[in-house]
Amino acid sequence: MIERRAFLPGLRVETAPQGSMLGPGASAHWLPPRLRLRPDGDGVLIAGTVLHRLVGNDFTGVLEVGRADDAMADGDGAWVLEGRALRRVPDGAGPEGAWERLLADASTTYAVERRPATVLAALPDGARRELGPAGLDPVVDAAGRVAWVQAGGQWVVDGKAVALAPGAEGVPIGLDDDGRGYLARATGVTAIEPDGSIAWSFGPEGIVPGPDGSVLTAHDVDFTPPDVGRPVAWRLIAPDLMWGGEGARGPGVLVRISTGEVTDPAPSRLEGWWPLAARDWQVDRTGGVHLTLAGPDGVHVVTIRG
Amino acid sequence: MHTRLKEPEQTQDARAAAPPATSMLVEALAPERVLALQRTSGNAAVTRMLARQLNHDQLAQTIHAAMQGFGTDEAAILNALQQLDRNPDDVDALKAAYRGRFGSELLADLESELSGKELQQAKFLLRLAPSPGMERVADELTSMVGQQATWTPSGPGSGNTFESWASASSEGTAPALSTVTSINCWEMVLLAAYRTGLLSWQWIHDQYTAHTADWFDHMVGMLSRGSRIRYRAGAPAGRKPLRGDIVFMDGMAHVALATGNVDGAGRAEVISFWPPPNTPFTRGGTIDSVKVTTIEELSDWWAANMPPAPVVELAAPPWS
Repeated sequence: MIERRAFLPGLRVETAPQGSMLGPGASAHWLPPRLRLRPDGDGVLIAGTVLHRLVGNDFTGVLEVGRADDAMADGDGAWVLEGRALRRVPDGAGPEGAWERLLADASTTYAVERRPATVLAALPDGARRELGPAGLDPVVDAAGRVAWVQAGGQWVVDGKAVALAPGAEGVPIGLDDDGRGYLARATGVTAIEPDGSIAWSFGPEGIVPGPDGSVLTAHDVDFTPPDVGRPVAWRLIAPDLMWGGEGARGPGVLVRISTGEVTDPAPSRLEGWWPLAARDWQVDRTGGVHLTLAGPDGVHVVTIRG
Repeated sequence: MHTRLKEPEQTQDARAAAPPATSMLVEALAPERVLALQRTSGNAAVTRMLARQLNHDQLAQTIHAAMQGFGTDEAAILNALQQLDRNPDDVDALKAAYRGRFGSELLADLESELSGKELQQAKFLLRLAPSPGMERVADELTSMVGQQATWTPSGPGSGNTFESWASASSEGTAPALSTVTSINCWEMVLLAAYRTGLLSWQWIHDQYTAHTADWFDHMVGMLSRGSRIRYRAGAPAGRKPLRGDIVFMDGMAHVALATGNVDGAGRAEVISFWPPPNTPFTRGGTIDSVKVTTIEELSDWWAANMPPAPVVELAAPPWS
């Protein structure tokens, strides 16, 4: 089930994915607004140099931050990563380190350093806890339990490892109060039970706002891919538009679903809706999976429940 | 709804390297064909074509004979291994042929007969170890991790800092890394190789001023020494990159350098200068750091943001 949660109007986003990256005429690059939530489901939307506070179903205010590679709401302010440097907004510095991302439990914000070893540091004091070898992707639940996927398909929660079921692959993005873990890969998410088995999975290949407050995915439309003479991957980018991507090589093709009209190559700038990569989706303590859909007239926040 | 067309099983290069039918072999080996291929595609392509004609059993016998009697004929061994073109399928076939005929392991026998540079070269040719040059450039790029520059797309005529330096009429001071230096992914790798002294400005200049029909394909060829092999992201039993291997993602669309390490989640580490997977793009150029990430993280980002997932290939670099 997918439902709309909040909408931030007026944030015009060019939703074309990467066009060709090759050559001096490479097209403009996409700047996706990203959501960062605490376990209670509230947090911030990072949009350029501004953090928009999201509380419940409403955007309630903004924080000017300059550059933000990651951010996490904390009290009246926020922790912000600029490159690998950590600082607190509106004022204050953070502990030294090569920080890569921010996490939060119900009461504490953490910074993660992933190399040369994976380290979790509680803020603001920066007390460090080494989790394991380099490159792990830890997540923290509301109670402060830490989980990650380790080489060999091991799902580790607070030091206890279980084998992940075949097909349970991806980068951890959350852990809910029932102990379910959430793994993201490309545009999909897989929820896993505490024993490593798969609870449910969802791979939408495009999510767009539909009519009358609905949300549509590629699975909801009747579309037979035309033969365009080369391998493309299809994404629903509007209720009546399917985009066929060609990776970094070019702008792909565009198909109007209702008429079958093919535009090849697709315009290099598209007006449609493009969800965040699943590795940036956020999980709350009840198992709600939240993501943004950036489009021509603003940004929707939608919630997926298994 | 069917949302995904079939991904090509082989890259163009792999298709070109597939064993031709017997009737085509004679034609392919005609002297005029070999010369034409050498002119149009270079020695590497000729080597690749000839490698397809390998008799692995004969090669195993040649190597074994070179290890018999007093002394070892290192040159004969290395010459024989050179014919593999570092093609993993040919390496596997040679190992099997050697084991079948002599009942021992090729690597174990080589390790008992060779040492020092010869052994390292043999392991390089068997794709078991990087060359000293690969390690030096990987070390140099590792030393650049964390330094910032502005990432921009590039190619001949891009006008970014590196391209301007590379295309100048004479060699100037190499770009220093700072946020006012604009440079792209493969240019960062070339800069590291230049800084070690293993790659000359003239070589870089010649590529940036080459007038070729498809410059990006040309560069893939120039940056590959020997066969390129397909890497399947996330496949635990797949072939892993060696330290200093060039990692091509959709050809030149993204180029990184392998560290030779596997991270705690089992993913193949690379050193990369490109905003993904953790830095948002900024219009007009993105300030970012040279970073350690993994092929799997980049492929996953790619599949989500500019599908389909990239074709990933590994190759030894020209400075190996």
